[in-house]
Amino acid sequence: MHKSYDPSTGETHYDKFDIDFIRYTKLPNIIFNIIGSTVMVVVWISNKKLWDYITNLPLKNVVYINIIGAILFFIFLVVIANSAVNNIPAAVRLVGRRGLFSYTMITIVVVIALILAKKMTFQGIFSDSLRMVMAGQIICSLLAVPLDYMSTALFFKEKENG
Amino acid sequence: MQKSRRKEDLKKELEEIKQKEKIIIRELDKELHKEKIVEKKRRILVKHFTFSDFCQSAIGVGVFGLSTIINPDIWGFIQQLDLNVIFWVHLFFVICFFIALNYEFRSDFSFDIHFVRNLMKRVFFTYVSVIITVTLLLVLVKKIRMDMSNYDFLKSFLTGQSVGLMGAVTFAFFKK
Repeated sequence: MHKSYDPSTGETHYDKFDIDFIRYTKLPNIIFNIIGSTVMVVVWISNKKLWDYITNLPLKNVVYINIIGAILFFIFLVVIANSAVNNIPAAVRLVGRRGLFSYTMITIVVVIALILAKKMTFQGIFSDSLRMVMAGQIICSLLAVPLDYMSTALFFKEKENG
Repeated sequence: MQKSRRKEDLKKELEEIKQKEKIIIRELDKELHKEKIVEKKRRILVKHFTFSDFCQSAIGVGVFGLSTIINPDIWGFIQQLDLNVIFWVHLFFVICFFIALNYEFRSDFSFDIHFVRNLMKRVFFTYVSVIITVTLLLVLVKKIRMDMSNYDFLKSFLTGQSVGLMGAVTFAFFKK
């Protein structure tokens, strides 16, 4: 039994095993997420072959890959969280909250990188920008998501107080 | 004899005062404990954004924002505005939204790091809920189309989002 104390609310959670890497989003997670996203987006934009291949994919395909990949990863984490908390709605809430922060950070990094690289401008067409952003999310998540979750699981342990 | 009696009376009085002190301290501890429980409940309430809260935000956007979003006169007026103006107005509404949401959970604006951090997360979740609803409505009224420019998309999106935020927070106050 793992005891996890949340200092922001004063609650103490009792899980079957340690799922603090899902339960809490901390500053190191955000930093590792940004590092992973930045590395991948720089590789993607600077590599012409990779850029052409990904951005010439039809919008439909990019949307499907993005959504299905996110759903599969979401289900995977919900299964892990449910094993620890033994409550599906609670597991969905935990994973959804955690995943939303990761997803938002990746999206912000991709948008900023595309604007700085002048791939996305005010005069550009919205569908092209949407395709680039969603393709960027797929590329960045390959490194950003593992770094994000690994950093909590390996380096940062929540203090067991309360 | 009188002195010893006087001493005994004083001792009795002291004992009574000590007993009263103990009762007062016990009552103060109870009140402090109650306050801590109220504070803890408040932090839990502000942190836990449930599916019900998402639905209430969506309903608020629909009830208070739909009539504005489907009104073509509004969009004619927005066309004349610069994106900068719309952006700063939107930012102003986001700040007002943050302050209004604070007063939904407490009656002051004191700096409590844990409460403020949970409040920021709640603002973020509510903002995303409004984005989902507003995007659906804007696609419905064809204010978001694949062939539009990014400039027009941002104008439509920021306008819809400002209206949606006002609707979501107004509904939260009505519900309260």
